[in-house]
Amino acid sequence: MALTISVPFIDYNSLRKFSNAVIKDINHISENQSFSSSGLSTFPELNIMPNYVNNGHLDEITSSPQDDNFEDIFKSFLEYLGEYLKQIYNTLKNGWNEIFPSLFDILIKYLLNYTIEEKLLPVSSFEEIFQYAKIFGLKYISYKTINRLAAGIQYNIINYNWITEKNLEELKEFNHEVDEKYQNAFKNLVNLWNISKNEKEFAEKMNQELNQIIET
Amino acid sequence: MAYLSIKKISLIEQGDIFKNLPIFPHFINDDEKIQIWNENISRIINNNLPSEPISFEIFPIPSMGILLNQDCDIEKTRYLVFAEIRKGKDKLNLKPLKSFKQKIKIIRDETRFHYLPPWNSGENENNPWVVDFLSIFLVPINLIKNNMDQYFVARLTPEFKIIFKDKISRFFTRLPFEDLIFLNSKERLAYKKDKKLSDEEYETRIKEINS
Repeated sequence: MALTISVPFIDYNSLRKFSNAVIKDINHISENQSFSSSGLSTFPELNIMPNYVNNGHLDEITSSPQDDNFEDIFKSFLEYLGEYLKQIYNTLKNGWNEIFPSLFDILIKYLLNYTIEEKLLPVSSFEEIFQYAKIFGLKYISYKTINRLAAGIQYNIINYNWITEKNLEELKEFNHEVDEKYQNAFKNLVNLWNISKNEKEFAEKMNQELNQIIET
Repeated sequence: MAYLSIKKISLIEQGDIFKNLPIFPHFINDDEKIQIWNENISRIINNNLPSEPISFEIFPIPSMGILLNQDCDIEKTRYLVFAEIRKGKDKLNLKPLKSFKQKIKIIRDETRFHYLPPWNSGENENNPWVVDFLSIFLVPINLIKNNMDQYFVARLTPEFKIIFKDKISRFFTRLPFEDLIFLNSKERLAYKKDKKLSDEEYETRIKEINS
């Protein structure tokens, strides 16, 4: 998927003219807000940028205009800047929301491939990666990922109990809009999960009997 | 050696071991499917035409199996009969003095199970492959015949094949009987203790004998 970011026109003369003012303003913000504690480096906190255009921080700067059009140009620049950052943020946010399910799918695919090759599942439970994925903003799971998990159970690559009942409940309604493909994939996952569970219980009984035989 | 050192076969024989065979453990085992089947059959019994064909979603699980069909039947049949081979989870004793007794016990005394030595060199012998005659499944012969290399694992040597045939025969001809009928009252109590039977289980079995 290609990401497109439309960049608003920026008047570089205006930018140069007011760069000092902007720096001063940014310094003002940094004096009054703790960036580290507010987590400015995370996406949600970037929301302050568009709002920042109209907030009280402008008062100090606009109190010492260099020419008649200063205020208008400055506001215009900040609007540009705000719009620009807003677009970047939205694009990244939307892009991330679209990209992340694919990344998650690739991760699951990698885990299953690794398990086939190395005969060892590197992650002890689905919960472990699912929790992290949610923290990093996973809000949608592709039906392909669900199919992959179902196939993983079917081919004995993963144990059914690698995915807990709680995970299944969560996966059932994880997507905001559940389409038919997802519903079918989820149904298959649940069916195979139950089949595998019953099979393991049968195997366990067999093992108990076998153990009794060899131990007596 | 338990197996012939061959990688390919042209004809299928009794006792051949295959992998990746489709087993349908819950083909018609869950309540929903059983209900659908029962309802449709009852319609037919009552001379009512079913309103629609019966169809089930199935999920085959790849399994390992050993062929039970007699050699002379293989060419005539549409479906081959397999007993499932499973990896024993509980390992045999590491001490040879104990493990050989365990192996012999499974081979000689057990009707449900049969011990198979590992076919891959370097495989842990104490984690045995076990044939479970209680888990039997059918596979279309064409599936294997058309892709023999994909499914074939190993072929038993003639000596091991004879032993395997004996195990098949013993499993299908065994006669279930109650041990307790041969024992006097003191021996019965000793049997109860030895087999670790609960009071309830013991009483039920005694009641069945007396009835």
